[in-house]
Amino acid sequence: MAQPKPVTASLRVAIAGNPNAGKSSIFNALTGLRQKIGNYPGVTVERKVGQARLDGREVEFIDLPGAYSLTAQSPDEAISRDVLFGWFAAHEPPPDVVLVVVDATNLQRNLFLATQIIELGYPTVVALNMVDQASSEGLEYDLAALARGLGVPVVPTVASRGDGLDVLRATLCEAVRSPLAVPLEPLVEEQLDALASALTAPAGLARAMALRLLATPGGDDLAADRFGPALAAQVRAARRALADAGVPWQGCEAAARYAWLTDLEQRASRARRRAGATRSERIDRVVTHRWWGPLLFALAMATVFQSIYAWATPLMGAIETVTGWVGEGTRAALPPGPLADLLVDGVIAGVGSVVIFLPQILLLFLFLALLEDSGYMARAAFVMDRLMSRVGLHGRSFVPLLSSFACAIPGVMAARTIGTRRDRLTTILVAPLITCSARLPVYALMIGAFVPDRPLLGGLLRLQGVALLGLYALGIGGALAVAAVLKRSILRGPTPALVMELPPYRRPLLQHVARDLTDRARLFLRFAGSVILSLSVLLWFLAWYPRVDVSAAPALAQQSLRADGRNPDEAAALAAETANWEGRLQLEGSLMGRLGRAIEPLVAPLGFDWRIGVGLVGSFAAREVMVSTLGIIFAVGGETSESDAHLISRLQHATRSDGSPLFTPPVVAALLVFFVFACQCLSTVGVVVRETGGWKWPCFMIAYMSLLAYGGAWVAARVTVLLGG
Amino acid sequence: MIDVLDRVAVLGLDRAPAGGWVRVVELREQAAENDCRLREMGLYEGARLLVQSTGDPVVVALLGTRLAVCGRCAQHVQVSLAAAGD
Repeated sequence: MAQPKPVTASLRVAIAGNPNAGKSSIFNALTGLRQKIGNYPGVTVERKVGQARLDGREVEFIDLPGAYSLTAQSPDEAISRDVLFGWFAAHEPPPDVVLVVVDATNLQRNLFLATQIIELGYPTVVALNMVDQASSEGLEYDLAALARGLGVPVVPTVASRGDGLDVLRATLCEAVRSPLAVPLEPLVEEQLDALASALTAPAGLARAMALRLLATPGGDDLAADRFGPALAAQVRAARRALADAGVPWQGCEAAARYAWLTDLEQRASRARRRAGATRSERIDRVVTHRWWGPLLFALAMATVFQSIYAWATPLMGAIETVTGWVGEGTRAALPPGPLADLLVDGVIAGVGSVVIFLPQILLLFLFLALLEDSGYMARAAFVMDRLMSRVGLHGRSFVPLLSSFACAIPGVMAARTIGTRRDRLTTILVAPLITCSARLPVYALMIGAFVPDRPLLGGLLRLQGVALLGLYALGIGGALAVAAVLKRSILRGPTPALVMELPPYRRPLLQHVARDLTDRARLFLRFAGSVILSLSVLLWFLAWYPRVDVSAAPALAQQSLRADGRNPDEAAALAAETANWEGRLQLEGSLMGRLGRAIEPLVAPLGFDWRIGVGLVGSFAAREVMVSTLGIIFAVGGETSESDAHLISRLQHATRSDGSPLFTPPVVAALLVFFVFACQCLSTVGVVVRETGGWKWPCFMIAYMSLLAYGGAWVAARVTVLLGG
Repeated sequence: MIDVLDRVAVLGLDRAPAGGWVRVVELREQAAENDCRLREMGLYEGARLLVQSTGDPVVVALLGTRLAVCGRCAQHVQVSLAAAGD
């Protein structure tokens, strides 16, 4: 082993490894951060940075996206390669130390990348992670033999339990450079020497760069970009020389490296994997079965959406009750006037109407966390591959789409795992069509108000859950249909081939799931307490000002006169009706009413009145704002009585100015379909701008989604009428 | 005669029997789009794999892990049948 490198006062440690090896778990444990963890490729798609103190020194840890090789074949892998080669940014030096996380249950495949990294010549430490699982499969390794072979320290860890991390911390301060260079064919080495001599880098790094340029598809273009046309020409000449000698450049590395690794594994193995099918293999006989697989996938999705309704109801009821108490208490404690109305009709009605959906959102995230951590996501991609290939994408594209169930932003970013630009763009452009958690409050509100809670199939399913599932299916169907159109028109290209690892099933760790849900709840409440609160105050202001002199209204004056001499019940009913009229007149005369009237012609063909139109305008900032807007409109608008205490019943009893119901079946169908397809999230647009490198594709996305939303809503309303709705 | 036997013994991975061991003979040029990734993930010339399930995608076990390879790609991976202890 080489001499230890003297550790500097401030260290930069890059954490690299294969997908699912446990890099993010180790990063979290070392830095105390809460980077997302999952059991499928593509959870970490950008580098994350965290600080910690080790042995009295300030250390910066960089969690790199998972990669199978330094031959970067997708944007996320390119980030790992660029950081390790010192190409990431001009101002960012290469790391001082590299920590390679290796999955002990899958040693050879993980060491393929590990040896490539060790050869770069950085002081390196290998964390042999998940040694407990390896042991349970019968695998035992001689760590000293492994360290001798690799030329760097090897530390056994179980990151999920924190085992071995103290030793790992201590070892990082004693990281060493290894002289390792896996021998390739003499002719290849000859070409590498020639290429490396043209690069100004330390010997190990220069050889590694030369190998990447020689053996990577597109390596000549990379050489031209990084080093100029002369080196690109040299790469092409080296490839020709190898081909003339009967050595294909594409295969010059893998066979030699795996042969070397096979030899190393034989020397370091104390016990081999037990024979027979593993638990994951037995499970996959059903889960990835040609017929059972899709059926199980559909069943899993149906269970998720049924449970979102069935399990969340009691908690939602409790939040609703508390919101009601807070509103009543505030109203009673304050003198009548603008402040009381602002707090009750603006803040509490606005924020409360969104917070009530927290249980459903948490249930959605609970199921997603269980699917991700267990390893089912990769199976879902597997099961969907055949369908995805029909629309011109492969199953890998389905993982970003599944991530979009939580939020389109990680979904768009997860598309970095897709190698081909056309397929990545297609996936990015359709990901916002997948129903994200921000749509859930709108769906839940409208379904809760207008879809009867009727049992189906002898009580196995309920109509509300089926309606929710239908909206999610419409989002998926829309995404696939748009992908098919894009891949056959402006993004035409061959259907990519699926080559994907099936990670072993793992029992989801309770603390990871709990932490994920806590983070989600915190984010949601912070969002409600900031964005929703601010917009609620603004919307209340728009609904409250300017004040309208309602007493001058002839209809009210006549009603007041008619109330004289009536019995107390009739007088009370008339007083309530008068209050409703007052509220409605105030709303119509307010700034919000004027704005709504201005946009009403645009939404009228869909059957929407100006109040829904105002809600739609607000929802373009964030979808949930639709719910808070309706909460404020129907609170300020005075459409309230004893039975209309909550937003759902207010919506059920909402009427147009002619007294006819506002939310008829065609209107509800049109509104829901509009929300399925509309691009109503500024954050998503921002991420698409960043990921596509400009405004061209985001503008295209907004345009096609708006057309789809408007057209889809119009069709939905007409079809509902035809069906007798 | 030997040439004929060789042709018979070599088949696309998509046609390999489930439950059987095979050895990778060649990655055809049509697999070029993915050949680098296939090799890096262990499907290099000479690698031995267990075909776990056929169809589309094909699932193979190798190097302690399992890979799903879509049918279009698997047909360009030429394999020969191998004995379990080969």
